[in-house]
Amino acid sequence: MEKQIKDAFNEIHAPKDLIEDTKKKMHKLNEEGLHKTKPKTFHWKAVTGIASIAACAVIFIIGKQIFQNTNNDSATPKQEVVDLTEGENAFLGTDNDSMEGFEFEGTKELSEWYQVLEDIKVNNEERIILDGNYVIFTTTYPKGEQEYRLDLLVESGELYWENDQLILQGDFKAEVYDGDEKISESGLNISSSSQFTSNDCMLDMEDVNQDGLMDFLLETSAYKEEPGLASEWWYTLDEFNNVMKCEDK
Amino acid sequence: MNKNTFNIDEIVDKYADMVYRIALTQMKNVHDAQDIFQEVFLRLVKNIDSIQNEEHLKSWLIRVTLNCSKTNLMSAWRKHTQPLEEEQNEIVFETKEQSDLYEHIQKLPKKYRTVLYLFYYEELSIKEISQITEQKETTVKSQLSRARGMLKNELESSGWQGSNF
Repeated sequence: MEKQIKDAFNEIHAPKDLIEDTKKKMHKLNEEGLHKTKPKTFHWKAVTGIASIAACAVIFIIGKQIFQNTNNDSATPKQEVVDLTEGENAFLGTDNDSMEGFEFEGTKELSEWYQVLEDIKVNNEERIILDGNYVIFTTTYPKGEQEYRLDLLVESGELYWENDQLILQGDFKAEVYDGDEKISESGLNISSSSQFTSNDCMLDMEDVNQDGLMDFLLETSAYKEEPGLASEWWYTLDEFNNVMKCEDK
Repeated sequence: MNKNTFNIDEIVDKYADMVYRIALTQMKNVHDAQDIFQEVFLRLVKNIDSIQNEEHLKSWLIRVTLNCSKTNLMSAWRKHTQPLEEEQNEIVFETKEQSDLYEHIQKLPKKYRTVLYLFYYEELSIKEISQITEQKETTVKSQLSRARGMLKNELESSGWQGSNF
């Protein structure tokens, strides 16, 4: 199989004019870069990288969602008040030069992320309590000629750092919408994910595992030096079918 | 590597086919693959300072090609402007068997196309693929196994005339 697959791919070559055109553009961009006098320090890169990861904490907070006040009586001593209400355009983004592979919209000024970092206090043991329906991602789901929207939400949970990974843990649910009308809702047996995003993701319908788990591909929006790829979440096909009651509608 | 010392022509010549093949495998569309190709190499110029060595360069290029493709696909998918049909007719294969095999590979789900290419063509190990794609090794193994199975079934059911797997 190896040889046959190799032979097939061997026939594919990048067009020469594409290669030459790309080289020209690269040389031009490189020369422009060499003439720039923009100093980059380690401190800048580090802060930018950390900021991009920390920003992951707020990318799913779209609109008017506020973290619970730690002064709340129910909060444990380690829980902290963090108000990350950032408005409609709250979104990840700092220095595009450090964001390989992705483009960001609604970019925040780096200085704004300093305050977010201060609030989150990266890598300490404090946990942020989520109380409310936070949309983690949204995707559309075509069925026949109809297209539905599927939202995955965390109803309540915790957000915290562990071994340099941002962990989201809690009770999840999925909601299906036909236009603005919610037509189905179901709790999901997902306990946690170390990576998440508010970006739309592709629902990989063609890939139902043999063991009955549905794969969801989530874009990773937080990375330090290199872009991350999709992380995978799963829930059972039964759960998915339960959510997708619209199938029989 | 840094902006003063890296050799643009040498790098592009060495990795052009790899980046293009991955982009085409992901996008199934020559024109989008060409856009991804340029985007990846232009990003390389911007990020050359972060490249530690040759091995890192290769994995960086694979990773960024996959990510750029994914971003592009996601955007196109949302807008419903991305035709899903293949544009294989722009690739000239030496034999019909090669053409058929490539066509069937392209019909596989994207994640399976990716692991097939990285494992069989780039000869990356399961561990290397798992690091590049940020998936568990068991996940990559499972994807590879299922990719092989699906490809074999597809070829058998289509009466493929090439050698048996």
